[in-house]
Amino acid sequence: MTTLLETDSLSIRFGGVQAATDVSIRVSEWEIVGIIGPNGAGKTTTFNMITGFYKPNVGRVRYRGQDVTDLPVHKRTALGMGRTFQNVGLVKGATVRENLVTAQHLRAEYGAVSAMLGSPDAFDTERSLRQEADEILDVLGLGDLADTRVAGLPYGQLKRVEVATVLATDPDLLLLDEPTSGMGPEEAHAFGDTLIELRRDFGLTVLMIEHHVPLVVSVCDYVYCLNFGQILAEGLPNDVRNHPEVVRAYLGEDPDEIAALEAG
Amino acid sequence: MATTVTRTRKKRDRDAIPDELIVVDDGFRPSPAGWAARGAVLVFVAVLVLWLGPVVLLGGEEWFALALAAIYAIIGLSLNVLIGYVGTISLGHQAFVGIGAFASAYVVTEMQQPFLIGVGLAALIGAFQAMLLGGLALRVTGLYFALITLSYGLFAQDTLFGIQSLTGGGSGREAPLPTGPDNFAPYYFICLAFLAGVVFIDRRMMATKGGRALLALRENPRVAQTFGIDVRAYTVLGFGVAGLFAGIGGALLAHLNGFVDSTEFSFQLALVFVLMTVVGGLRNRTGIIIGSAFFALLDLLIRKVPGLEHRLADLDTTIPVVLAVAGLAVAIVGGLGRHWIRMGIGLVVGLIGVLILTPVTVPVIENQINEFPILVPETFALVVGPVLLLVTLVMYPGGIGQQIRPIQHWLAGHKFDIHVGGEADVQITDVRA
Repeated sequence: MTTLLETDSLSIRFGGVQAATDVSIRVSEWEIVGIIGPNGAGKTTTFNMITGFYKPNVGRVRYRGQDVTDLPVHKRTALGMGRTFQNVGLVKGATVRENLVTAQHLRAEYGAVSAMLGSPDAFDTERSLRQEADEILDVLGLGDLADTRVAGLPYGQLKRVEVATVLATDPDLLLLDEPTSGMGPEEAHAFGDTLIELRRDFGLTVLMIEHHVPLVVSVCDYVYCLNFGQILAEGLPNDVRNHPEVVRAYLGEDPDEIAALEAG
Repeated sequence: MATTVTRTRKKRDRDAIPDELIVVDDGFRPSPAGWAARGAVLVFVAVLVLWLGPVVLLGGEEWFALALAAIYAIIGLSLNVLIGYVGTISLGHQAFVGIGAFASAYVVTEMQQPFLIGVGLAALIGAFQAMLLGGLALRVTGLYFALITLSYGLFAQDTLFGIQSLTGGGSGREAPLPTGPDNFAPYYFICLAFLAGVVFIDRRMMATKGGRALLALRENPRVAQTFGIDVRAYTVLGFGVAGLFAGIGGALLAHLNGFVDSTEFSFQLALVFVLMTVVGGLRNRTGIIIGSAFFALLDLLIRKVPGLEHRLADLDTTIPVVLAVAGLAVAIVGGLGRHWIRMGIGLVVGLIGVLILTPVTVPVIENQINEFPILVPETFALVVGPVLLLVTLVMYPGGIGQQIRPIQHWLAGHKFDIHVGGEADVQITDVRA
């Protein structure tokens, strides 16, 4: 399998805090890769370095073999990186459909200035963009929400709308930051199914930060566990989950003791 | 595509969406009579603007004020691009307008070019200077950027507009009316045509990717970037459009006055511009046009009431003016929103203000009247403006635009619903800090 995304020992420091050290991640095409780790482990920081919001002090980010470390965020979007945010990245004042059409920015192949002056091809493009947006919403079962204002939606729906919006940017690599936060275990599980369907239908590769361990185990092909800005363990989901260091990082206990407690 | 359909249905069942979140088309279509009523309203507005108002009610000499109203509307739309779309405040908009005014005056009188070329070049120069300022807005935001625009405006007023070779220095520069001396009537229609052009550009921008990009980056630049929007380029573009409009407005203003000099473009003017835009209602073109025209016509209004001009200049009457304006504004707004108690209180307060202002309670002796200084129009706007602003921000953050939303909604072929355009349409946190 070809490597889609590769980070090469990313390190970043904010003042006196070393937020990430030597984070090397590899995501191959068609994979679903999970990042787990306790709060403050540097997961979102790593995401921000990959997508271009932060520039690492040391290390490079490579996407399809191309060094993108110095590219601004919107150019990485153009290359096919799409990301969601921990606290929902949507335009709250707009409706769901308007958000999707806004996210199709790079697919609107007319000049912003000529459209302003009334260029006729903008009209056709706009119509087809709206249609495509509706198709994406239908696939995610959100068609009924197209005209609803984002600001009024409950959190779980927001997360789903956000995924739809990112799909509208036409990504190859989907970076999801806690996509199931605010969802119950049932919904989270259903989201896992959706993710696998999306990978099939849209030909996606996924890198996601996720706290819901059963979901990670069931959908991910490979898992990284971060702690204190460093990779604590990596490997197949089950191996990482049972890795003694990982268990200690999450629970702060000796795994043998826990096993003993569970047995007793 | 059959598989897609079944999959969709399955998901819908699984995570049912609460009904109250689903916006459905109520299937309402106006009857022919309904359409006729809507058409009649539009025709009436058109007749009012094009013929009844100017020709019948006001007559010859008031064309000047009407042209000014159209020009203010262009300037209001210019400021709306900055405050409403880009999400940054400009307290130096008198400089934007002034640069357009001087540019056109220079092109027409010094270079002997026709009026339209003057306006065109003024628009381009206006866009250019605004884009330079937009480059700064990428580095400095919020209150600090407001301070920068404030000092930019003052700098332009004191320094830039004093450059002898370009602006004529203190003596100013002539900007002849293209339709002949004091022939304001055709000029009003020229200004209206430019206003129509500005509205067209604004509409097209907001219906296409440029406008969407601006709205996204105003609300959340980080999210806008992940949508593939180049925040720098679009911020600069937004400033460019605002500068283009302001340049047109400035050029038209110069030729309306027949003359430009630097004293016209004071900070007071910038304040009036901001007030009329916010009171008009950010992101609502019609509201802004009404608000701007109101502020432009204030001067005419004062002159139409005999003696008012002089009485207003008296400090003792400032308080009743505030009472009258605030009271009546609250009454109108309350009436539109069917808040009868608010309306009642507003009416009482307003009437008290009006009563104090009438000659019964403030006797004016004819030979004394001329001892009062005549009020500078902008000063009056600055008394009325903040009062309206306060009423706006407290009760209807969307300004006039929010109040006329039900009417606009009805005109577009929906059922009349007084609650259309609630708080959700407006955010008070409009300017990024």
